[in-house]
Amino acid sequence: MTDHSEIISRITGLLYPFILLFGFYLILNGHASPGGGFQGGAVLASVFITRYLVEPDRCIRLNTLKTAEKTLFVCIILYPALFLFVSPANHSELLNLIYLIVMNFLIGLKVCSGFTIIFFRFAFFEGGI
Amino acid sequence: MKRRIITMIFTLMLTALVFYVNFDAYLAADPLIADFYIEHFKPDTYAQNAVAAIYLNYRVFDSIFETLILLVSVTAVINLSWRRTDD
Amino acid sequence: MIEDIFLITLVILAIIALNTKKLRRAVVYLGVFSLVSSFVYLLYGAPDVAIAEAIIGSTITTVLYLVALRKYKVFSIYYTNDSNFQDIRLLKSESPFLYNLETFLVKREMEPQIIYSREPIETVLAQEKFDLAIHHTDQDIWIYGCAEDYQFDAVEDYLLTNHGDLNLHLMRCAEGEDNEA
Repeated sequence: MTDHSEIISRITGLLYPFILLFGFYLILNGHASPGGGFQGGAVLASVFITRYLVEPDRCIRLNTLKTAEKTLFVCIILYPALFLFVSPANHSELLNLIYLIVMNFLIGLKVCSGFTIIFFRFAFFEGGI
Repeated sequence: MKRRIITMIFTLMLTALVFYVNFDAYLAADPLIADFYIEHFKPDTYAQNAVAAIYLNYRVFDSIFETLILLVSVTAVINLSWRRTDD
Repeated sequence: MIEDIFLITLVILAIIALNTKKLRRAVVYLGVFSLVSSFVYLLYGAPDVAIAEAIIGSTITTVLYLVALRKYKVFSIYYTNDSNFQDIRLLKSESPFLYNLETFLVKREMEPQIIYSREPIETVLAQEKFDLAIHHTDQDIWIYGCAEDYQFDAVEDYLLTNHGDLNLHLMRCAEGEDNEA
């Protein structure tokens, strides 16, 4: 736990921005290409997991992530309820595109925070002496 | 050694089963539903990806309850961890 | 045709993962299993599911299993003695050697589990699954460990630096047929 490799730290530090870029690409292009909120959120969560490989001793602020996840869940319920369920008529193209992109983004952030909470809870709060 | 032999026989039997099931299986969905989605998803939702159109427009309840399941599992993990320093 | 090859690979990888001696290798085989199954999804024309399977199955789950394995490493120690002991707790308080060994293992994030046995050391060595077997005679302490276990090297270093005054004899035996490390 205390000894970690210098090589792995440097290389994962170099890889950070590329993983972040790939995650946001998956989320924001989810309506046009394979990918979407869930997959992109999992990629973003793997960014935090590689951060655990770089710095194994420091935890991140989980309370912020918990509140973020609850707020995002309320948003995920509210946006389709206000957009899709109010009227059976079809909306314009621009509104539909905005709806798809924003929903993908919300789902991605929520999945990212959920996976990160689960992983760091396991890594730092489970079975430690 | 006997265990290895039993394992090998089991592997071969499973392989034969996979071949048998996969040989003439029909691997596409019901053509009525598939045709409906393929024809209508573009004018209904303006998405280029049919999967996104389905899970964000036709079946939104699936997405909502999937995220709810993730939230419940996060709550369970937080409550069942050993060391409780905060909250 | 190529899907059939990958499906057979899936079955073989799953059975290999069940039959490994060490849990760590089983985790690695499961990661490869997820990767191959994501490729099968891709061949069947479902790239969304393939991306999800590749990320979750072979990255996040593998790392989570490895962290969990490091957290819960139960280290079983068999302890035999020449003289007939009566009370186990009394014995543990009398020998600082065992207590120190236990705290050392706890510091390395393992759960030491000491099993006191009345049987002679030969039957323990032949029959039981152990990480360490300690045989305590009046003058000497015989410690048996697995030759491939890297934890045993650390234990050896620690014991030789801190308990050099005791008559320690460290023996390495080959890995047994079913010895789960």
